[in-house]
Amino acid sequence: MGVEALKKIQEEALLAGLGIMDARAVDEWRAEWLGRKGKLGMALGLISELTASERPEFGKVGNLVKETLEGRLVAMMSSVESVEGQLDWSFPGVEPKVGHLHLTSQTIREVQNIFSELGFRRARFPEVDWDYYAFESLNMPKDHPARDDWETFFIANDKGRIKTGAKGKQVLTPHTSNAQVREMERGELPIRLINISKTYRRQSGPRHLPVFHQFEGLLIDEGVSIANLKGVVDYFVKRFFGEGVQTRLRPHHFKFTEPSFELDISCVICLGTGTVSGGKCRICKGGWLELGGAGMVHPNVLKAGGVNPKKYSGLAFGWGVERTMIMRSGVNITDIRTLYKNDLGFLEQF
Amino acid sequence: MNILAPISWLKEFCTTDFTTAELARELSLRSMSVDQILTMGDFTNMVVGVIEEVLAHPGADRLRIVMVDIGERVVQIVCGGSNLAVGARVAVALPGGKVKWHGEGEYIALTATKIRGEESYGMICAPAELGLEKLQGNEHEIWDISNLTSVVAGTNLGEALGLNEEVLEIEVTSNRPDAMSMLGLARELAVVTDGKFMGSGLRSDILSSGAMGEVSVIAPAKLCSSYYLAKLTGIKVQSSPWWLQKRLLQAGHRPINNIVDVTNYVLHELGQPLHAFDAQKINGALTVRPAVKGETFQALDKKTYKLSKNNLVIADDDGVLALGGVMGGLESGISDSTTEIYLESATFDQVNIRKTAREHNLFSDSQSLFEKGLEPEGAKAGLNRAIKLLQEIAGAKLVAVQVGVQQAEGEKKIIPIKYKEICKQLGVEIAEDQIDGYLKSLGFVVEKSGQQSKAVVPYWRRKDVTAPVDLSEEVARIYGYHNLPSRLPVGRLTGRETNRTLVWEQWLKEQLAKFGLTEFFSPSLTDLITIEKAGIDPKTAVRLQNPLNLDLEYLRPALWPGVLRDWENNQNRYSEAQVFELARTHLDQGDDNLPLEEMKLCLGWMGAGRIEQAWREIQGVMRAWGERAGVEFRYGDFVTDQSGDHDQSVDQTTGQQEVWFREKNQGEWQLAGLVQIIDGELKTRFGLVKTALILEINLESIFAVAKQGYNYQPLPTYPMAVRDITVDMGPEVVYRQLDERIRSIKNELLKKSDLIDSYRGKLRESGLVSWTFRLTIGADDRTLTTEEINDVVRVVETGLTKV
Repeated sequence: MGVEALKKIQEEALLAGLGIMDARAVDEWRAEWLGRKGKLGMALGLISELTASERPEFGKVGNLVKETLEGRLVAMMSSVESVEGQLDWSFPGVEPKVGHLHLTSQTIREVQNIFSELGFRRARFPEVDWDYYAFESLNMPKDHPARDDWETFFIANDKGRIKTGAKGKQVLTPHTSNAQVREMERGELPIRLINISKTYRRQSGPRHLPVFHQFEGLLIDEGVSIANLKGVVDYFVKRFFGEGVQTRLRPHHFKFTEPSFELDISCVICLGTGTVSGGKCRICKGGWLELGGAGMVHPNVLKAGGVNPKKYSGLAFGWGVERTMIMRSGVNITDIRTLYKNDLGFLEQF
Repeated sequence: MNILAPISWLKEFCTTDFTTAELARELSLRSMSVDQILTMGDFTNMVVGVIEEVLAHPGADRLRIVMVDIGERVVQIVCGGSNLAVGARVAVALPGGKVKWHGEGEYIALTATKIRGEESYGMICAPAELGLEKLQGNEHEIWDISNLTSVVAGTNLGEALGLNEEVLEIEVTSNRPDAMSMLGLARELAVVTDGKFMGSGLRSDILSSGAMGEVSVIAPAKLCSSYYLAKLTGIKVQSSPWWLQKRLLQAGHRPINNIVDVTNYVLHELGQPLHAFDAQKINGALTVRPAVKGETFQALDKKTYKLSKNNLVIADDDGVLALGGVMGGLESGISDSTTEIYLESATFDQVNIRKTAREHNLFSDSQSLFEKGLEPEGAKAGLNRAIKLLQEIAGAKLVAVQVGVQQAEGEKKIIPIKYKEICKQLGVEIAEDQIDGYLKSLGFVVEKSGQQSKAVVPYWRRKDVTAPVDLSEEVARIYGYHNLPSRLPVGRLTGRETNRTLVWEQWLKEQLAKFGLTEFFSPSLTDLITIEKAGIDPKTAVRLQNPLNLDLEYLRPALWPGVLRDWENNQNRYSEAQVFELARTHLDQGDDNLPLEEMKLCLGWMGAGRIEQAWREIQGVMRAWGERAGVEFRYGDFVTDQSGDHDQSVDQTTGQQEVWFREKNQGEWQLAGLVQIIDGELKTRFGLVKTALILEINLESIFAVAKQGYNYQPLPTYPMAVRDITVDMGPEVVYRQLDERIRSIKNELLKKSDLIDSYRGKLRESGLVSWTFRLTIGADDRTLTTEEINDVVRVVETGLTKV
């Protein structure tokens, strides 16, 4: 204490004195720091609490501080007289300490919020799952070539073979669709579910990460139609990308949906025209950007989940979080690996 | 699978007046995605030239001065080709024309220039320089196109060779092997452009039959559902005519010789794999049978394979000639001296072919098509087409066609058409006959009996269309997904609550960001070295059986090693940072269970100047969010007896403290995690320059009890007094002791006490440490007198200083 406190008072007083321009403020400053009941005065009063040996030093420093502050006061008073009311408005500001959520966290939050507007609830599902939930129950029987598309990682047991249990091999889930049958097995209908989770694929490169995120939507109710799928994706796309953005469904194929679609959105750069200043738009294909896959839940998947396909139907979609994220303008990150290097220069931009 | 479809080839099977761009759009919207519209290159400023003279180059032995007639005039070009011949037609790139230098890299436009002192107006090209690498034979040869075209000099090269036309690159999904051919795509094209499909006229009867030696098929019918063998003689093996070579190039194949080319041509045109054997290399009768375990066979790729009884082979008396549906053998392959061939057209089982291919790691175009599942009906048409082509271009004479397996009468697949269901699934009303029309255009036969309607699935869709929902897809896509309405679903909302942990996860991240921390977000895969560096037993971690590489072999069991690693990359440019990561970790739970997945929080004060300051700040952050979540934290060793007086010893040496939590003011204290000073050896191991402070806790149990809510206290009616007191203590005294002494003072006028400062500077000769506390003193029912206030101060002072 003691000397340190004095030095601190000096520091704080000088800081508080910055930018004081008018006479009244100067007076207030004087009262706060140098007045009879001012902070310096109070601090100096505590000399009584020091030991005898400490007092000389304390007194010396105290006087120095007093001189410094009094000098400052004189300067302030004279500057007030000469530049009364003039503040250097061009002086730069001082930012408060701002923290940063990672772009992916922000995106996940936004996606979750948009779907919660439609009554979708988010639940948690394992990142390491049984083959049954990742493939078999999704209409992909063992040894079916469709599984090759997913470039799956398997978990090793201590003999170096693949861990296998009653529900098949243990895999790192390559898509968030392992949520579908798990959710149906809870036995509650209707279902409006969002699963946002880490997914894993054996791939690598500037546009592919082995660990990334997907968000999956599942809606199961009576009389759900393709028109409803369009309604839901249109809603999301407009909320996330903007009102002017169009969507387009094209035929595709997934084993766990029928019909299956690929969803495009109109390019945010060339606004769907396909051209930018006379040249071809480099980002999109003819004005469209591929967002991800979607479809009507296959009756076999409903059956696997114990849901009667004669009574219920469902829509589903699964899209990459990172992919969706960098499709927004202002976030055109060309090498996706930059996202997770955690360079502060990157993180602090968001 | 991406299929390259030259427009002219498609239009042989489908008439339509749509432009290329229009039909590409319709295909993408209703059928298959057209990824790109390609051409074979840009042939502007490229012409057919005729060589008039070839002269020596005075300045270079290997170069020649060539006088070339380019139509309007004769120009001089310097060329190093080894096969320049007077009278030859050649591919000339004039200045402005774009070529690939030495067949590599980007296309670059030519300029008139001088080569070793001699004028050179353009270039006489080799195939690779035009982007036709597959045609390049000897690397020093220019492309002699005398036999490919007879146009006059000066004709545009692209026109002369038919290279200017457009090729669609189409993504065909794996459930549609029927569309992996020109015929199949043309069928789709006709439907989506309302064009006329002309493929139904392909001959599918056997052209001829007779004895030519037996072909016996000893294999379960499932493995081989059709097998035909044609014998052709009078073969002259040579290059295919240009129109065929060009089509193969456009389709992405390499032209080899007329026989092999025809098989590839038919594969691409009709989607039927074929194989040609040199008949003179066959000894005895051909048998289609399972291999005998251990039988070997040298394939066309020159490698030798050891077969198993799962593999289906075509063999003669001497041994295996071909691995059925996968690859032919080297010995019986077509060579320049072949004059007689056996041409095989068959259908092999998709599962067996897939297993066989993976067993031997042997892949081919045929195998890849069989794997998708072909129907036996396609074999005859494919054979007939190939025979016709061989007759045309190879002088072949058909001797006989032997049937090994008669194409099985394919099961007639019939699916009821439920019109109301279809409309319900689509969300729009479509008239019955409109639905019927769509199905018919796709090749379905619609049968009506009374009120019921049924669709008979065409053979080429047999595996793909098996249930009424598949019919809905056909109707919907031809109707046009873009034509369907867009309607938010109406229904009951689910009663399911959002998962608690997720809600708190989100909340906590936002809190920490509000406190000024930056979020680290890293991949959850890590490596053995990092795990060991962290002192964690790798056996507890979850390991991948097939990692991409050793850097990503394990699921991380803790967050902090990754945080330190990421800080290492930042520390050269940033002096310090306060970061956090909130993510799941995994721990192995044996073979029968999925790993234990737990959400963890890691706080890191990196580049910490003063550890004490960092520690105070971390505690501050923990307290700040803990308060708002209704939990409290304490640090240090707890003895099992948690009755009140704890810490037998606060260990200063390990640089580590335990973190404990409980619901505020109630319940048992539970261990949440650890705080660790990253210094000394740890610091070196992780490559840090400055000391860091890391806290990592398990959030699962904390979130389970977290509670948001306020606990409003009315403001005091009577003023509080604030007094600072300073006491001197010996250097061995730690804060906890003083805190507990103050807590043990049961004085209801002492409302709060906070540590303001603790000074242990060198200035203090006595070696003592002075501690300053700020006390808040007051009563709920009256204003205290100075005496009463001072009394409290004295009580605290006494309580602190008594030993």
